[in-house]
Amino acid sequence: MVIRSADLDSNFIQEVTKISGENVKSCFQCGICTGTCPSGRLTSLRSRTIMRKAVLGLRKDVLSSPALWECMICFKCHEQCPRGVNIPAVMLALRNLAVREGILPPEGYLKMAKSVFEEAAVQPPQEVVTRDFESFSRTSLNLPSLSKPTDLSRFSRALGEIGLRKIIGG
Amino acid sequence: MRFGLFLGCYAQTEQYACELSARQVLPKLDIDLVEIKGAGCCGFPLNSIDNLTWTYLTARNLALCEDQHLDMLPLCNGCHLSMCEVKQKLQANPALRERVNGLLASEDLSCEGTTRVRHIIEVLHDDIGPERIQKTISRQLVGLEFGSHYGCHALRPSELGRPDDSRNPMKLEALIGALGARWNVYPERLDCCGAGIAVSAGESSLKIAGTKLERLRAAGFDGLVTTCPFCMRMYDARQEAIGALLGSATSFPVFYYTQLLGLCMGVDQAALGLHLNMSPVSEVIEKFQAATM
Repeated sequence: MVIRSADLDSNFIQEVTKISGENVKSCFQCGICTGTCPSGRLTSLRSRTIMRKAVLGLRKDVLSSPALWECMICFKCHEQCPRGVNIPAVMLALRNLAVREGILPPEGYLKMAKSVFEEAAVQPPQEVVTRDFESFSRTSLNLPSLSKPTDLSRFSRALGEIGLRKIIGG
Repeated sequence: MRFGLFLGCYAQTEQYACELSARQVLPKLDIDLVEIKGAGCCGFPLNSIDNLTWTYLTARNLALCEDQHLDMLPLCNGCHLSMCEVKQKLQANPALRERVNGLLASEDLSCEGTTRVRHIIEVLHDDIGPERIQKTISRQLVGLEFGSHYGCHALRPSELGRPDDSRNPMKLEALIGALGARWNVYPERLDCCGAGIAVSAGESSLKIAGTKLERLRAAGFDGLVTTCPFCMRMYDARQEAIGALLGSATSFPVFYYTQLLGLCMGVDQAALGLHLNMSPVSEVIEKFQAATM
Protein backbone atom coordinates (compact mmCIF):
# COMPACT_ATOMS: atom_id res chain seq x y z
CA MET A 1 0.00 0.00 0.00
CA VAL A 2 1.38 3.38 -1.00
CA ILE A 3 0.99 6.01 1.72
CA ARG A 4 -0.09 9.43 0.37
CA SER A 5 0.09 12.67 2.28
CA ALA A 6 -3.67 13.09 1.83
CA ASP A 7 -4.12 9.98 4.04
CA LEU A 8 -2.24 11.49 6.96
CA ASP A 9 -4.13 13.15 9.80
CA SER A 10 -1.80 15.21 11.96
CA ASN A 11 -4.35 15.45 14.81
CA PHE A 12 -4.66 11.70 15.16
CA ILE A 13 -1.58 11.14 17.31
CA GLN A 14 -2.73 13.79 19.80
CA GLU A 15 -6.09 12.07 20.21
CA VAL A 16 -4.43 8.69 20.77
CA THR A 17 -1.98 10.20 23.25
CA LYS A 18 -4.76 11.95 25.15
CA ILE A 19 -6.98 8.88 25.58
CA SER A 20 -4.17 6.41 26.25
CA GLY A 21 -2.05 8.73 28.40
CA GLU A 22 0.96 7.21 26.61
CA ASN A 23 3.79 8.90 24.77
CA VAL A 24 3.13 7.05 21.53
CA LYS A 25 5.61 9.20 19.58
CA SER A 26 8.50 7.88 21.65
CA CYS A 27 8.22 4.51 19.85
CA PHE A 28 11.45 3.94 17.90
CA GLN A 29 10.20 0.88 16.01
CA CYS A 30 12.46 -1.76 17.58
CA GLY A 31 9.73 -4.38 17.16
CA ILE A 32 10.10 -6.02 20.57
CA CYS A 33 6.32 -5.67 20.99
CA THR A 34 5.66 -7.75 17.90
CA GLY A 35 8.37 -10.23 18.90
CA THR A 36 6.87 -10.82 22.36
CA CYS A 37 3.23 -10.82 21.21
CA PRO A 38 1.58 -14.20 21.91
CA SER A 39 -1.44 -13.24 19.82
CA GLY A 40 0.57 -12.11 16.79
CA ARG A 41 2.00 -15.61 16.38
CA LEU A 42 -1.47 -16.76 15.41
CA THR A 43 -3.35 -13.64 14.30
CA SER A 44 -2.86 -10.66 12.00
CA LEU A 45 -1.79 -8.39 14.89
CA ARG A 46 1.55 -6.63 14.33
CA SER A 47 1.84 -4.12 17.17
CA ARG A 48 4.86 -2.34 15.73
CA THR A 49 3.01 -1.64 12.47
CA ILE A 50 0.02 -0.27 14.33
CA MET A 51 2.27 1.96 16.46
CA ARG A 52 4.01 3.37 13.37
CA LYS A 53 0.78 3.94 11.48
CA ALA A 54 -0.71 5.70 14.50
CA VAL A 55 2.30 8.03 14.73
CA LEU A 56 2.09 8.75 11.00
CA GLY A 57 -1.59 9.64 11.36
CA LEU A 58 -3.07 6.92 9.18
CA ARG A 59 -6.38 7.26 10.98
CA LYS A 60 -8.68 5.33 8.68
CA ASP A 61 -6.21 2.52 8.07
CA VAL A 62 -5.51 1.96 11.78
CA LEU A 63 -9.07 2.32 13.07
CA SER A 64 -10.60 -0.03 10.52
CA SER A 65 -8.01 -2.75 11.06
CA PRO A 66 -9.43 -5.98 12.57
CA ALA A 67 -5.97 -6.54 14.10
CA LEU A 68 -6.78 -3.86 16.69
CA TRP A 69 -9.20 -6.32 18.27
CA GLU A 70 -6.70 -9.17 18.28
CA CYS A 71 -4.62 -7.75 21.13
CA MET A 72 -5.17 -9.84 24.30
CA ILE A 73 -4.19 -6.93 26.62
CA CYS A 74 -1.70 -9.33 28.25
CA PHE A 75 0.93 -6.58 28.74
CA LYS A 76 3.85 -8.85 27.71
CA CYS A 77 4.98 -6.22 25.20
CA HIS A 78 4.62 -3.42 27.73
CA GLU A 79 6.93 -5.19 30.20
CA GLN A 80 9.61 -5.42 27.49
CA CYS A 81 9.21 -2.07 25.70
CA PRO A 82 12.51 -0.14 25.95
CA ARG A 83 10.58 3.13 25.57
CA GLY A 84 8.23 2.24 28.41
CA VAL A 85 5.13 2.56 26.24
CA ASN A 86 2.04 0.78 27.53
CA ILE A 87 1.12 -0.63 24.12
CA PRO A 88 -2.11 -2.35 25.27
CA ALA A 89 -3.26 1.06 26.59
CA VAL A 90 -2.63 2.43 23.08
CA MET A 91 -4.61 -0.46 21.55
CA LEU A 92 -7.52 0.26 23.90
CA ALA A 93 -7.43 3.97 23.00
CA LEU A 94 -7.49 3.07 19.29
CA ARG A 95 -10.47 0.77 19.86
CA ASN A 96 -12.27 3.60 21.69
CA LEU A 97 -11.62 5.94 18.76
CA ALA A 98 -12.78 3.32 16.25
CA VAL A 99 -16.07 2.91 18.13
CA ARG A 100 -16.54 6.71 18.28
CA GLU A 101 -16.15 6.85 14.51
CA GLY A 102 -18.88 4.27 14.06
CA ILE A 103 -16.70 1.22 13.44
CA LEU A 104 -18.49 -1.53 15.33
CA PRO A 105 -16.43 -3.81 17.59
CA PRO A 106 -16.73 -7.62 17.29
CA GLU A 107 -20.25 -8.77 18.16
CA GLY A 108 -19.19 -10.26 21.52
CA TYR A 109 -18.30 -6.80 22.86
CA LEU A 110 -21.70 -5.40 21.90
CA LYS A 111 -23.47 -8.29 23.60
CA MET A 112 -21.47 -7.75 26.79
CA ALA A 113 -22.08 -3.99 26.73
CA LYS A 114 -25.84 -4.43 26.27
CA SER A 115 -25.99 -6.92 29.09
CA VAL A 116 -24.07 -4.56 31.39
CA PHE A 117 -26.56 -1.78 30.59
CA GLU A 118 -29.50 -4.01 31.48
CA GLU A 119 -28.21 -6.27 34.28
CA ALA A 120 -24.86 -4.77 35.36
CA ALA A 121 -23.17 -8.05 34.36
CA VAL A 122 -21.66 -9.22 31.04
CA GLN A 123 -24.17 -12.06 30.87
CA PRO A 124 -27.10 -13.41 32.87
CA PRO A 125 -26.37 -16.36 35.23
CA GLN A 126 -25.87 -19.47 33.11
CA GLU A 127 -27.15 -22.97 33.65
CA VAL A 128 -24.02 -25.16 33.64
CA VAL A 129 -23.88 -28.82 32.60
CA THR A 130 -21.31 -31.00 34.34
CA ARG A 131 -19.10 -33.73 32.83
CA ASP A 132 -21.74 -36.19 34.12
CA PHE A 133 -24.45 -34.26 32.24
CA GLU A 134 -26.15 -32.84 35.31
CA SER A 135 -27.47 -29.26 35.20
CA PHE A 136 -26.80 -26.68 37.89
CA SER A 137 -27.75 -23.05 38.47
CA ARG A 138 -26.89 -20.54 41.20
CA THR A 139 -30.13 -21.51 42.93
CA SER A 140 -29.57 -25.27 42.83
CA LEU A 141 -26.02 -24.74 44.13
CA ASN A 142 -27.47 -22.69 47.02
CA LEU A 143 -25.48 -19.61 46.02
CA PRO A 144 -26.90 -16.19 46.95
CA SER A 145 -28.71 -14.30 44.19
CA LEU A 146 -26.70 -12.28 41.67
CA SER A 147 -25.29 -9.07 43.04
CA LYS A 148 -26.59 -5.99 41.19
CA PRO A 149 -27.33 -2.29 41.71
CA THR A 150 -30.18 -1.77 44.17
CA ASP A 151 -31.91 0.56 41.69
CA LEU A 152 -31.09 -0.41 38.11
CA SER A 153 -32.84 2.66 36.66
CA ARG A 154 -30.51 5.03 38.54
CA PHE A 155 -27.55 2.95 37.40
CA SER A 156 -28.72 3.13 33.77
CA ARG A 157 -29.20 6.89 34.10
CA ALA A 158 -25.47 7.37 34.73
CA LEU A 159 -24.58 5.13 31.80
CA GLY A 160 -27.04 7.08 29.65
CA GLU A 161 -25.28 10.29 30.61
CA ILE A 162 -21.99 8.92 29.22
CA GLY A 163 -23.83 8.31 25.95
CA LEU A 164 -22.25 5.02 25.02
CA ARG A 165 -25.60 3.42 24.41
CA LYS A 166 -26.24 5.81 21.55
CA ILE A 167 -22.95 4.85 19.94
CA ILE A 168 -23.37 1.10 20.10
CA GLY A 169 -27.15 1.02 19.63
CA GLY A 170 -29.69 -1.06 21.55
CA MET B 1 -9.56 -10.20 58.42
CA ARG B 2 -12.70 -8.95 56.75
CA PHE B 3 -13.28 -8.31 53.06
CA GLY B 4 -16.05 -7.26 50.74
CA LEU B 5 -16.12 -10.20 48.34
CA PHE B 6 -16.13 -8.90 44.77
CA LEU B 7 -17.16 -11.85 42.63
CA GLY B 8 -17.17 -10.26 39.18
CA CYS B 9 -19.23 -11.41 36.21
CA TYR B 10 -17.76 -14.77 35.27
CA ALA B 11 -17.50 -16.16 38.82
CA GLN B 12 -21.11 -15.14 39.43
CA THR B 13 -22.73 -16.21 36.18
CA GLU B 14 -20.78 -19.28 35.13
CA GLN B 15 -17.65 -20.22 37.08
CA TYR B 16 -19.58 -21.24 40.18
CA ALA B 17 -16.79 -23.42 41.61
CA CYS B 18 -14.71 -20.27 42.12
CA GLU B 19 -17.26 -18.77 44.49
CA LEU B 20 -18.24 -22.08 46.11
CA SER B 21 -14.66 -23.01 47.02
CA ALA B 22 -13.71 -19.48 48.13
CA ARG B 23 -16.73 -19.33 50.43
CA GLN B 24 -15.74 -22.71 51.91
CA VAL B 25 -12.04 -22.24 52.56
CA LEU B 26 -11.46 -18.55 53.34
CA PRO B 27 -13.65 -18.45 56.49
CA LYS B 28 -11.69 -21.48 57.77
CA LEU B 29 -8.62 -19.21 57.72
CA ASP B 30 -10.50 -16.56 59.74
CA ILE B 31 -11.33 -14.43 56.71
CA ASP B 32 -14.83 -12.97 56.92
CA LEU B 33 -16.44 -12.50 53.53
CA VAL B 34 -19.03 -9.74 53.40
CA GLU B 35 -21.40 -8.93 50.55
CA ILE B 36 -20.74 -5.64 48.73
CA LYS B 37 -24.32 -4.41 48.45
CA GLY B 38 -25.19 -3.21 44.95
CA ALA B 39 -21.98 -4.41 43.26
CA GLY B 40 -22.01 -4.75 39.46
CA CYS B 41 -19.64 -5.43 36.56
CA CYS B 42 -16.11 -4.06 37.10
CA GLY B 43 -16.26 -2.65 33.56
CA PHE B 44 -13.06 -4.28 32.34
CA PRO B 45 -14.46 -5.73 29.08
CA LEU B 46 -15.99 -2.35 28.21
CA ASN B 47 -12.63 -0.59 28.40
CA SER B 48 -12.25 -1.64 24.75
CA ILE B 49 -15.34 0.37 23.79
CA ASP B 50 -15.25 3.42 26.00
CA ASN B 51 -12.67 4.45 28.57
CA LEU B 52 -15.05 6.58 30.63
CA THR B 53 -17.70 3.83 30.87
CA TRP B 54 -15.05 1.45 32.23
CA THR B 55 -13.74 4.06 34.68
CA TYR B 56 -17.27 4.77 35.91
CA LEU B 57 -18.20 1.10 36.35
CA THR B 58 -15.01 0.34 38.28
CA ALA B 59 -15.24 3.51 40.38
CA ARG B 60 -18.83 2.62 41.21
CA ASN B 61 -17.72 -0.60 42.92
CA LEU B 62 -14.86 1.17 44.71
CA ALA B 63 -17.38 3.78 45.88
CA LEU B 64 -19.68 1.07 47.26
CA CYS B 65 -16.77 -0.28 49.31
CA GLU B 66 -15.91 3.21 50.56
CA ASP B 67 -19.54 3.70 51.53
CA GLN B 68 -19.78 0.32 53.28
CA HIS B 69 -16.30 0.66 54.89
CA LEU B 70 -14.96 -2.50 53.28
CA ASP B 71 -11.60 -3.63 51.97
CA MET B 72 -12.20 -5.36 48.65
CA LEU B 73 -11.26 -8.88 47.62
CA PRO B 74 -11.92 -9.42 43.89
CA LEU B 75 -11.61 -13.07 42.80
CA CYS B 76 -10.88 -12.35 39.13
CA ASN B 77 -7.56 -10.96 37.87
CA GLY B 78 -9.32 -8.64 35.42
CA CYS B 79 -11.48 -7.14 38.15
CA HIS B 80 -8.45 -6.78 40.42
CA LEU B 81 -6.45 -4.94 37.76
CA SER B 82 -9.42 -2.68 36.94
CA MET B 83 -9.82 -1.68 40.59
CA CYS B 84 -6.11 -0.97 41.08
CA GLU B 85 -5.78 0.95 37.82
CA VAL B 86 -8.86 3.13 38.30
CA LYS B 87 -7.93 3.83 41.93
CA GLN B 88 -4.60 5.17 40.72
CA LYS B 89 -6.18 7.17 37.88
CA LEU B 90 -8.70 8.81 40.20
CA GLN B 91 -6.09 9.71 42.78
CA ALA B 92 -3.79 11.21 40.14
CA ASN B 93 -6.42 13.10 38.17
CA PRO B 94 -8.80 15.42 40.10
CA ALA B 95 -10.68 16.44 36.94
CA LEU B 96 -11.48 12.82 36.13
CA ARG B 97 -12.48 12.21 39.75
CA GLU B 98 -14.91 15.10 39.53
CA ARG B 99 -16.38 13.83 36.25
CA VAL B 100 -16.83 10.31 37.65
CA ASN B 101 -18.30 11.57 40.90
CA GLY B 102 -20.81 13.56 38.87
CA LEU B 103 -21.96 10.27 37.31
CA LEU B 104 -21.93 8.41 40.63
CA ALA B 105 -24.22 11.04 42.12
CA SER B 106 -27.21 9.39 40.38
CA GLU B 107 -26.88 6.62 42.99
CA ASP B 108 -25.78 9.00 45.79
CA LEU B 109 -22.26 7.59 45.65
CA SER B 110 -18.84 9.18 45.52
CA CYS B 111 -15.38 7.75 45.07
CA GLU B 112 -12.05 9.04 46.37
CA GLY B 113 -10.10 5.94 45.34
CA THR B 114 -9.15 5.03 48.89
CA THR B 115 -10.52 1.47 49.01
CA ARG B 116 -7.88 -1.11 49.88
CA VAL B 117 -7.92 -3.82 47.21
CA ARG B 118 -6.28 -7.20 47.84
CA HIS B 119 -5.66 -10.13 45.51
CA ILE B 120 -6.49 -13.64 46.72
CA ILE B 121 -2.86 -14.72 46.13
CA GLU B 122 -1.70 -11.84 48.38
CA VAL B 123 -4.23 -12.72 51.06
CA LEU B 124 -3.30 -16.40 51.08
CA HIS B 125 0.45 -15.91 50.71
CA ASP B 126 1.27 -12.59 52.39
CA ASP B 127 -1.50 -12.26 55.00
CA ILE B 128 -2.16 -15.90 55.97
CA GLY B 129 1.10 -17.48 54.79
CA PRO B 130 2.05 -20.97 53.56
CA GLU B 131 3.14 -22.03 57.08
CA ARG B 132 -0.27 -21.39 58.56
CA ILE B 133 -1.99 -23.11 55.64
CA GLN B 134 0.28 -26.10 56.19
CA LYS B 135 -0.72 -26.21 59.86
CA THR B 136 -4.44 -25.78 59.10
CA ILE B 137 -4.83 -28.64 56.63
CA SER B 138 -5.55 -32.19 57.74
CA ARG B 139 -4.48 -34.04 54.58
CA GLN B 140 -1.77 -33.53 51.98
CA LEU B 141 -1.59 -33.80 48.20
CA VAL B 142 1.14 -36.44 48.39
CA GLY B 143 2.83 -37.63 45.21
CA LEU B 144 1.18 -35.08 42.93
CA GLU B 145 2.90 -32.38 40.89
CA PHE B 146 1.23 -29.17 39.74
CA GLY B 147 2.05 -26.30 37.42
CA SER B 148 0.79 -22.80 38.24
CA HIS B 149 -1.08 -20.31 36.11
CA TYR B 150 -1.16 -16.81 37.64
CA GLY B 151 -2.84 -15.15 34.65
CA CYS B 152 -1.55 -11.98 32.97
CA HIS B 153 -3.23 -9.39 35.14
CA ALA B 154 -1.96 -10.92 38.38
CA LEU B 155 1.56 -10.12 37.12
CA ARG B 156 1.39 -7.29 34.61
CA PRO B 157 1.58 -4.32 34.26
CA SER B 158 4.16 -4.51 37.05
CA GLU B 159 4.21 -0.74 37.71
CA LEU B 160 0.67 -0.99 39.04
CA GLY B 161 1.80 -3.16 41.95
CA ARG B 162 0.68 -6.67 41.07
CA PRO B 163 0.42 -9.49 43.64
CA ASP B 164 3.72 -11.10 42.57
CA ASP B 165 6.91 -10.47 40.61
CA SER B 166 6.18 -10.17 36.88
CA ARG B 167 9.22 -12.15 35.75
CA ASN B 168 9.63 -14.82 38.38
CA PRO B 169 6.52 -15.12 40.53
CA MET B 170 6.74 -17.80 43.23
CA LYS B 171 3.79 -17.18 45.57
CA LEU B 172 1.40 -19.64 43.94
CA GLU B 173 4.20 -22.21 43.92
CA ALA B 174 4.71 -21.68 47.67
CA LEU B 175 0.96 -22.07 48.22
CA ILE B 176 0.92 -25.32 46.20
CA GLY B 177 3.90 -26.53 48.23
CA ALA B 178 2.05 -25.76 51.46
CA LEU B 179 -0.48 -28.45 50.48
CA GLY B 180 2.25 -31.08 50.38
CA ALA B 181 2.23 -31.24 46.57
CA ARG B 182 5.25 -30.87 44.33
CA TRP B 183 5.43 -27.97 41.92
CA ASN B 184 7.69 -27.09 39.07
CA VAL B 185 8.13 -24.24 36.63
CA TYR B 186 7.67 -24.75 32.89
CA PRO B 187 8.48 -22.54 29.88
CA GLU B 188 4.87 -21.50 29.16
CA ARG B 189 4.10 -20.67 32.80
CA LEU B 190 3.68 -16.90 32.36
CA ASP B 191 1.81 -17.10 29.06
CA CYS B 192 -1.66 -15.68 28.57
CA CYS B 193 -4.73 -17.96 28.66
CA GLY B 194 -6.02 -16.40 25.44
CA ALA B 195 -9.35 -15.22 26.89
CA GLY B 196 -8.66 -11.66 25.72
CA ILE B 197 -9.36 -12.59 22.11
CA ALA B 198 -12.09 -15.17 22.76
CA VAL B 199 -14.70 -12.91 21.15
CA SER B 200 -12.56 -11.55 18.31
CA ALA B 201 -10.43 -14.54 17.27
CA GLY B 202 -12.03 -17.63 18.84
CA GLU B 203 -9.86 -20.33 17.26
CA SER B 204 -6.61 -18.56 18.05
CA SER B 205 -7.67 -18.09 21.65
CA LEU B 206 -8.38 -21.84 21.98
CA LYS B 207 -5.00 -22.66 20.41
CA ILE B 208 -3.23 -20.38 22.90
CA ALA B 209 -4.93 -22.06 25.87
CA GLY B 210 -4.48 -25.53 24.37
CA THR B 211 -0.75 -25.11 23.82
CA LYS B 212 -0.19 -24.63 27.54
CA LEU B 213 -2.30 -27.70 28.40
CA GLU B 214 -0.42 -29.81 25.82
CA ARG B 215 2.96 -28.79 27.20
CA LEU B 216 1.94 -29.40 30.82
CA ARG B 217 0.71 -32.85 29.93
CA ALA B 218 3.84 -33.69 27.94
CA ALA B 219 6.01 -32.53 30.85
CA GLY B 220 4.31 -35.02 33.17
CA PHE B 221 2.44 -32.65 35.49
CA ASP B 222 -0.67 -33.98 37.24
CA GLY B 223 -2.63 -30.75 37.02
CA LEU B 224 -2.77 -27.00 36.50
CA VAL B 225 -3.66 -24.60 39.32
CA THR B 226 -5.08 -21.09 38.98
CA THR B 227 -7.15 -18.62 41.00
CA CYS B 228 -8.68 -16.59 38.15
CA PRO B 229 -12.19 -17.45 36.90
CA PHE B 230 -11.55 -15.82 33.52
CA CYS B 231 -8.48 -18.03 32.93
CA MET B 232 -10.24 -21.09 34.40
CA ARG B 233 -13.00 -20.59 31.88
CA MET B 234 -10.46 -21.00 29.06
CA TYR B 235 -8.48 -23.93 30.48
CA ASP B 236 -11.33 -25.87 32.03
CA ALA B 237 -14.73 -24.92 30.62
CA ARG B 238 -13.42 -24.57 27.06
CA GLN B 239 -11.29 -27.70 27.23
CA GLU B 240 -13.70 -29.76 25.15
CA ALA B 241 -13.65 -27.12 22.41
CA ILE B 242 -9.84 -27.00 22.63
CA GLY B 243 -9.72 -30.79 22.29
CA ALA B 244 -12.00 -30.70 19.26
CA LEU B 245 -9.62 -28.23 17.63
CA LEU B 246 -6.24 -29.62 18.69
CA GLY B 247 -6.79 -33.25 19.66
CA SER B 248 -6.85 -35.27 22.87
CA ALA B 249 -3.33 -34.27 24.02
CA THR B 250 -5.00 -31.24 25.60
CA SER B 251 -7.14 -33.26 28.05
CA PHE B 252 -5.70 -32.16 31.37
CA PRO B 253 -6.96 -31.60 34.96
CA VAL B 254 -7.37 -27.94 35.98
CA PHE B 255 -8.23 -26.69 39.49
CA TYR B 256 -8.88 -23.55 41.43
CA TYR B 257 -6.31 -23.29 44.21
CA THR B 258 -9.17 -22.91 46.68
CA GLN B 259 -10.55 -26.29 45.52
CA LEU B 260 -7.27 -28.07 46.30
CA LEU B 261 -6.97 -26.22 49.59
CA GLY B 262 -10.52 -27.30 50.47
CA LEU B 263 -9.75 -30.94 49.67
CA CYS B 264 -6.79 -30.77 52.06
CA MET B 265 -9.03 -29.21 54.72
CA GLY B 266 -11.38 -32.18 54.39
CA VAL B 267 -14.21 -30.20 52.75
CA ASP B 268 -16.76 -32.20 50.77
CA GLN B 269 -16.03 -32.32 47.00
CA ALA B 270 -19.43 -31.01 45.90
CA ALA B 271 -19.19 -28.10 48.34
CA LEU B 272 -15.98 -27.12 46.51
CA GLY B 273 -17.71 -27.38 43.16
CA LEU B 274 -15.38 -30.15 41.99
CA HIS B 275 -18.29 -31.74 40.13
CA LEU B 276 -18.42 -28.57 38.01
CA ASN B 277 -14.88 -28.78 36.59
CA MET B 278 -15.12 -29.87 32.97
CA SER B 279 -11.53 -31.12 32.78
CA PRO B 280 -10.71 -34.69 33.95
CA VAL B 281 -10.14 -33.85 37.63
CA SER B 282 -11.34 -37.25 38.93
CA GLU B 283 -7.98 -38.94 38.25
CA VAL B 284 -6.19 -36.46 40.52
CA ILE B 285 -8.86 -36.68 43.24
CA GLU B 286 -8.66 -40.50 43.15
CA LYS B 287 -4.86 -40.41 43.57
CA PHE B 288 -5.31 -37.97 46.45
CA GLN B 289 -7.88 -40.18 48.13
CA ALA B 290 -5.77 -43.34 47.66
CA ALA B 291 -2.76 -41.62 49.24
CA THR B 292 -4.67 -40.25 52.24
CA MET B 293 -6.72 -43.38 53.05
